[in-house]
Amino acid sequence: MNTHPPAPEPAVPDRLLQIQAWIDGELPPSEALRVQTAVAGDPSAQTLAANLRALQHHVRGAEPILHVPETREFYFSRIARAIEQEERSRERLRTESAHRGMHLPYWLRWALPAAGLVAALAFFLRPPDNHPVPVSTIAAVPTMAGHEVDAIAPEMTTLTFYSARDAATVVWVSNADIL
Amino acid sequence: MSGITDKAGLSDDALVKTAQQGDMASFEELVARHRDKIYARAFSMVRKEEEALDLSQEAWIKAWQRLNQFEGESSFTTWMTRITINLCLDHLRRNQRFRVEPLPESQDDPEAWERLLPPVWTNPTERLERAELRRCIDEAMGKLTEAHRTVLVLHEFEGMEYKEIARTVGISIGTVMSRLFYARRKLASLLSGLNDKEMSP
Repeated sequence: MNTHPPAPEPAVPDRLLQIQAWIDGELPPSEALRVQTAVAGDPSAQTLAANLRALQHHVRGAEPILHVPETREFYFSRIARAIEQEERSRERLRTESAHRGMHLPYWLRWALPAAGLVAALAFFLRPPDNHPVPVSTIAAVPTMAGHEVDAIAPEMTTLTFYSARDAATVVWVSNADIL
Repeated sequence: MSGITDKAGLSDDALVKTAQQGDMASFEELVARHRDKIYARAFSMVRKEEEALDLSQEAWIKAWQRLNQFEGESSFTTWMTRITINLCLDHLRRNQRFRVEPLPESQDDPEAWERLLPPVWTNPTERLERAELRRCIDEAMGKLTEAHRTVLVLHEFEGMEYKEIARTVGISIGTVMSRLFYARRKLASLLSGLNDKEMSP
């Protein structure tokens, strides 16, 4: 596979392209007459024109006659199978998308995701709480001016502290066996 | 596939109409009628049997999907061939096979250009049988680059005008003209080599 960018081709002189266009019948009548006159007075242009004409004649009549190297049935069976698969997968997609949006009005299909996005943004961008419960509460326990409010379960040691000054409650749960 | 025999007598137009209504048997008859031509066109562009086979089948699948877009402005085969050509062009582009080769020698001298288009047979039937000529030209076409062969195939086999080739391939008319010239020059050179061989004792 070629990975290089295409090499630029040197420009073919206009005179030659004009002769070719004349042979190919691509020129408007006035232009064709001008080229015809120029060719008539120039032997090298006549040779080029004759060669182009001969080549064109040979190539046009020489399109290869090829036959598909497979039987009619086998060749078509692959086409039919692909068409069937394609139609089945389109049908599945149609059904799925119809199910997804079946009970919702059109505007709501857009409004719901948008509302979700707004809610998520509101959560992450909310202003800081005036009375936060710090994550580091446990570490702060020794400095709190708190007191034990509850202790439950004989096999567990559960201590709950409440600090009015810090407006924080800390629950300390530990297994008595470990201790 | 039971409809094979009943459909054989119908025209392309009639088959297209019933296929447009979903009749797969009519479509199958169209495929059977024109598959060789479609395969040949794909082969003339990509020059690889397997790829040509796959692309020709892909073209038929596309045709079935777009059948309702066919309104009969051209013949069904022309429409099918255009689908095939576009698929082949996409395939060549995807595989970066649109390489063009620079000319080996300086082309400053206009006469040098003309010498590069050597004469081919003035009367091929005197030297080669038609089938043999066809084979030689096909072989020579296989030696052209994809970029050059494409414009030649579209111009000589499909009968497209410069403007239409430019639109189909996505290049300027000037590029179409110069690629066509290069393609012919190379082809003439390959065929004249063969001509010399034929003439030598």
